Amino acid sequence: MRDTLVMLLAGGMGSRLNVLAQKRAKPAVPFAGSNRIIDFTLANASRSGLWRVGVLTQYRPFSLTSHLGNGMAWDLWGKERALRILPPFKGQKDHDWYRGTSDAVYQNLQFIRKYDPRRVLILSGDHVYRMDYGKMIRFHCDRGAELTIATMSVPWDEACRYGLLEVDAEHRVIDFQEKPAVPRSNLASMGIYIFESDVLERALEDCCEAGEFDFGQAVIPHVHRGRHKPATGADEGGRVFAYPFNGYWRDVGTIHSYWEANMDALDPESGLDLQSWGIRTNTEVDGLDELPPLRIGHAAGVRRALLGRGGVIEGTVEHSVLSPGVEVARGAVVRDSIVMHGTTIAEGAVVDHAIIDKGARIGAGARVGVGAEGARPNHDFPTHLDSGLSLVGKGATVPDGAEIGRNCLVFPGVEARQWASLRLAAGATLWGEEGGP
Amino acid sequence: MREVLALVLAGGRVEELSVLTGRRPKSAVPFGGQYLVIDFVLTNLVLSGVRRVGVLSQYRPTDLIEHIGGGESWGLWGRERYVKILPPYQGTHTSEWYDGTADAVFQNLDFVSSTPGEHVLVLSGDHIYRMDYRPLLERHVARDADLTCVFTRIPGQTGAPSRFGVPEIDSDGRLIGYEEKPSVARSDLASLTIYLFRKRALIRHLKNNSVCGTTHQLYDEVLPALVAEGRSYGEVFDGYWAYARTVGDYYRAHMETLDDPTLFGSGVLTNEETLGLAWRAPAAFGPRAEVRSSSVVPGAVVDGSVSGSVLGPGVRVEAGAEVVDSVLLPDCVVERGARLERVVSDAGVVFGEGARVGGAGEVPDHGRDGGSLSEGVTLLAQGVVVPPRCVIGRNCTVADGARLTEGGRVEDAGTVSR
Repeated sequence: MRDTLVMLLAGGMGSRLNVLAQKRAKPAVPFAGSNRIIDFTLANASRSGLWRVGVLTQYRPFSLTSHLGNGMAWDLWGKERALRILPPFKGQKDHDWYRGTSDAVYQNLQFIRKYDPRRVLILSGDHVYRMDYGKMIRFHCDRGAELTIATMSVPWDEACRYGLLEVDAEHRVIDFQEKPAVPRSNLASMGIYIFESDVLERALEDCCEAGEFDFGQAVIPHVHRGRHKPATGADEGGRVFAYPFNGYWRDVGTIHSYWEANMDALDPESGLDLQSWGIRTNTEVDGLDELPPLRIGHAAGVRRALLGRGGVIEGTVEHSVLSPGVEVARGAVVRDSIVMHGTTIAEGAVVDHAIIDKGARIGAGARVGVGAEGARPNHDFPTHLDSGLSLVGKGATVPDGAEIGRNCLVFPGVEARQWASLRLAAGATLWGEEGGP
Repeated sequence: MREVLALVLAGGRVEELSVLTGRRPKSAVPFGGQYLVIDFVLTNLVLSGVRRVGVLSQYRPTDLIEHIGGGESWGLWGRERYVKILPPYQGTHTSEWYDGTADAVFQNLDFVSSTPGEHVLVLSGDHIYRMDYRPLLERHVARDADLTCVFTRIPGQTGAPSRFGVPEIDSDGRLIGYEEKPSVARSDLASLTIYLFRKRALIRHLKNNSVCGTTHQLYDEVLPALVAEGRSYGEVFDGYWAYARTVGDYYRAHMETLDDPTLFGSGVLTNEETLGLAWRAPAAFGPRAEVRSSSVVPGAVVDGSVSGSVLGPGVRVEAGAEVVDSVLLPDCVVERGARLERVVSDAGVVFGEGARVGGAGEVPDHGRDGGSLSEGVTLLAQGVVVPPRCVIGRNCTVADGARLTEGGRVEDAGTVSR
């Protein structure tokens, strides 16, 4: 494991997560109460004995960098352990911003060379799963692979959303299709790659200098075709293998998939079993480590729920995930929802099929998520909010007695005075003063 | 804050806490779901701006050493910020266990004198309260005192026997008498074991005590000697305070915090690794959970019925199990159909299917440890396995390694030992 370096891609904008990822990078979006999405990947790396991790950041990294700290939370701190944040930088001839996933790694070749690993494991910071990378590395070594791609079988009707691989009986990759209209395979790439270092370096140089900056579209096909090798005349492809993975894995890239994965955390049968996974997080951020135990009042009802520390529950919470420090007052009901850190649900309020970001306030008697499923999609973001979920941004206020329909969006920081009427019809958006994501 | 060295007395075995202190000192007993007892004093020190802390420990300190670690959890970590464990040691001429609290400090006199600051704050690590020590120090300095002690009021104590240190204080706040565990208390004040010494005076008295003393306890010998010199003062603290000297006290303090969670204020700092808060998932509640008036911490999984109880990290209450008015320390498992009432259970106890433990109402103390259990609480030691359908009555003690039988019975006030 010591000779494998991890490069973790954490720069994603996550624009389909709408206001949840407006001011934070997608890997820093809270998940399952007290975690952030990136915790899963970091915990996997640390547990697999991979102790040197470079994190490539670009989009709004503040929330992410404070979360990562010095890496101590994941045991990535010490003489032979390192968690290094690698933001874009200016060089003499390099461009300043990362132009794509592989460009981000390319621009940090100097970092890779410093550690001089035999292999580089490329990971993405926005997936929820548990995996022992050690097994994949052994698979890679046993086959003398130049590149190994982790894969899993996905339902055929969803296959067209992924990069797909065709393999032979020895798991060697025969062909690729990137998000094809007509899939020939249902074996999807999970965006987890192990490269032999020299192969990676060569392929990155070739591709990035040719103006191609994406792993899936450029670097992997390049290695597969054997283009990274010096021309010998023989037309020999690269040794690219597909590592089969069968566990729980989700790309939580959309509002709906994000909500679904959170709900999976409520049901150990789903395969996402937080209690046994034990995914560490940095509790020093936001003063989480100063919060007292969760308190459940004498009239409360809590069922099928994950409740973070420091919460005070006097009302009813049913099939929901509450981050630390959430208050649910008497008579309030939270159902099928995600509520993040420090939000208050005041007396008698009802929150149904909603995602409420940090530090929001849902006023007394207010109702969020009124109406039936199948309501019209959000007028302004029809592809983000169309499954019936409503979204209330960070620090927003929903006034007492307000009523919010399905597929609605309330912008971060919206104050009570910005509500022209107390009703937000299905699919409506209440804009903030800062503009959209 | 003006430079003060704090010494925390954390070595106490405390007989009355029975099996809870079988493997750890009282200061390392879990409290309030997610803390250890010592966290309260360490938090007070940090928030009062104290930067240098020594912890005197001699009884089974493993848990404590692990918990305190490098002091990071309290921010006592840096060039001039530390918390050091001070265990007994062997020297070229001496090789002594700590003989008493005065002796424990005396044996660390080199450390005490070489640390900057004119004053030394000696505290017990066994008390649970929130206090800012800065005003105490200001008055101590303003009065040019050699010793300032802090007391709490115990209404109705005057004239009765007391299990505390009891002072007499004149109208200027000067200490004119101090007696440890008197048979007739001369006031309604009781010591919180918060002693602020002028370092010079402390050193002088400790040297004296090392030669002339017999019990070598600060409260028995050093305090009365200082009081006699006339430059000692008493302060009265009127915040919430829990000593948790007995299992009954320990239990009652938990029930009081359930009724009023503000008693201990907020922001108590602990080592997130000790009880696994750093990696445990949020508390999870299943489809059949019924939870009321309780406090629950990360890693707990509840699918049964819980009321009036404090659940520690990793506690599992299965569907159909019932936990009433109880305190469960980390990783206890209550299996289907088991019922607990007024139970204090140390870590990792398994209550088998259909077991019945404890019950409501008081019963007489049991003979052997007479008086150590009260309020009818039934106490189980770390790692005890209660087999299915076993019945254990009220006010019982089940010791470490005790053998219980499936379907067996322990009568009220019974003791089961190894």
